[in-house]
Amino acid sequence: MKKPIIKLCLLAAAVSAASGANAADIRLNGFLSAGGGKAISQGKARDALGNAYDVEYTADAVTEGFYGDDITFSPDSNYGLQISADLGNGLSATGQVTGNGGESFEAVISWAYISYAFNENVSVQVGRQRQPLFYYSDFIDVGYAYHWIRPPQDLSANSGDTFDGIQLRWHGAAGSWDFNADVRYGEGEEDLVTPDLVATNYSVDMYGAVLKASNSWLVLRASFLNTDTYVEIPGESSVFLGPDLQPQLSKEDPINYTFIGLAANVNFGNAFVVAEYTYGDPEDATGVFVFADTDNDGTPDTNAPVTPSGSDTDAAWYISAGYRLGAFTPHITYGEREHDYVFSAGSFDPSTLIETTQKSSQITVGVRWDFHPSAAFKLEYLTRSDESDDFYKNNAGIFGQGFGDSLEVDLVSFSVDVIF
Amino acid sequence: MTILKIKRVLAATVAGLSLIATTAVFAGTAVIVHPSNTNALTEDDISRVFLGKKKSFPDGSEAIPVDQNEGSATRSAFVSTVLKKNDQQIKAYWAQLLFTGKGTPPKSVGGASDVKKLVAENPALIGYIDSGEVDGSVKVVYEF
Repeated sequence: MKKPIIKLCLLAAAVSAASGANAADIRLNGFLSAGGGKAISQGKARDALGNAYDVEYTADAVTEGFYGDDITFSPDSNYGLQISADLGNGLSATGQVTGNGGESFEAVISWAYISYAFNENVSVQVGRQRQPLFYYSDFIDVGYAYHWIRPPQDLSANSGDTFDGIQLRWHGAAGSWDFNADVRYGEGEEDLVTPDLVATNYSVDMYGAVLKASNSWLVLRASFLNTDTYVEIPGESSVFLGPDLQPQLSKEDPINYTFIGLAANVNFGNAFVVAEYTYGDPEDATGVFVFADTDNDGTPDTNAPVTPSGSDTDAAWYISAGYRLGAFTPHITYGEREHDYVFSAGSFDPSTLIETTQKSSQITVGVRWDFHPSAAFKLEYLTRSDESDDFYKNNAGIFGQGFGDSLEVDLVSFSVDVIF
Repeated sequence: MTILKIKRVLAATVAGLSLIATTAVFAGTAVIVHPSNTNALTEDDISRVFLGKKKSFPDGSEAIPVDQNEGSATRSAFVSTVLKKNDQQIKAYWAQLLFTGKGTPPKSVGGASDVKKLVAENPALIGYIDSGEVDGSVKVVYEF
């Protein structure tokens, strides 16, 4: 946690040094979202040890902010401050500090990079940047820039939303069309903190690309990512990873992961439609089994996996439509997600894994009200249904406890988004 | 006599009103550049410069757009007619680009007289003012 602070100080020093030397053009901008909400209907679910709980809605999978039975104000609340210095001749330095209610508003560095423009069409960015995985990923914190309180959470990063590396950006135009191609290479890390698990997820040797074609009423976007990932767990943790019952996803033996995403955004006068499809595929689904050590004997309880076990392919899509009526923008969104897992029934045995699917569909109805030139008020109702297969829910009662209706939840929430 | 006076006043008022109406209809917005700038610009060219998609004029020289301050009626007219967005949309557009390192919105430099003064001094600038404010210090490249 000291790292971001040090980096921020370095950045501030660099910026002020630059301003001292060249009277650089400095910009200070920011954004803030303050919101709240409450789950108004909660499904019944069970954890891997059979304990029943009421389903909560995770508003931000990276920062773990969630809504439960009581009204809460932190999950969708966040802030960001950006300082940018234009050093002239195509060179600029930018830092952005963000904090999220799900992480007690602790300041983290989301962007810290130096940009150099070779010419009007080609530029390079070196440093920390948001991972532009999904359509909304790289500006997900900036609520003012889109119509929802939060983009569909089934389609946003759940481990690692920034990367440290290099990005090359190209822009070209032909007729009324603009074309963008951004390619990147780097690495990232994200702490995974759950009641059962404290670990760090590393992405290394990561390369990706975003291709975009747009005109005055249409944006088409394709996103690609390939990375090696592994997890490290502190020695004192009472959690173990399978199948070799060690943190086997070591730096030397990582698992490879591929992601693709396709999106379209259409604007017709006051009406708009945005749709996105994403698909993630790990090379080996048996990679991340997690076991607890509930009896504290220093060995993993292989008869009780903590997670549903190995995460396999994960596909999701949504379509959202809205209409601008003066300052009001009512909108509606439908989305689905299908996440496959391999499951070890009872004691862990890699040779008898069962394939199972966690599935959900989600409807969001809401309105955005631009009540001020720099601020918007948003109100939303969301209903999500758990359509997982019987094995996953264990409605058939064959193995263990099953997970019940672990995605079944209805939510009412609001937010005020400001930019400055 | 009195009736004549009233008629005259009425006539003058009507004439005045119609003059105001005429002025309102024809008081368009002019997109202006430095007099030495010889580029011919289409609405699409201007839109690209103001949306940060293009940073040069057709002849290759640098193009720097300047905005009037927020709340200006001329600015709203320019944004809706040339950029085809409303005030909130353009703000959301720039929020997305600004916070992802993909662009910086044009500087807001003040009112029409500020824009005119700056454009008259710098061949790289492009701005917009009420057509009625145009004089020999700047050159009109587009009008609506």
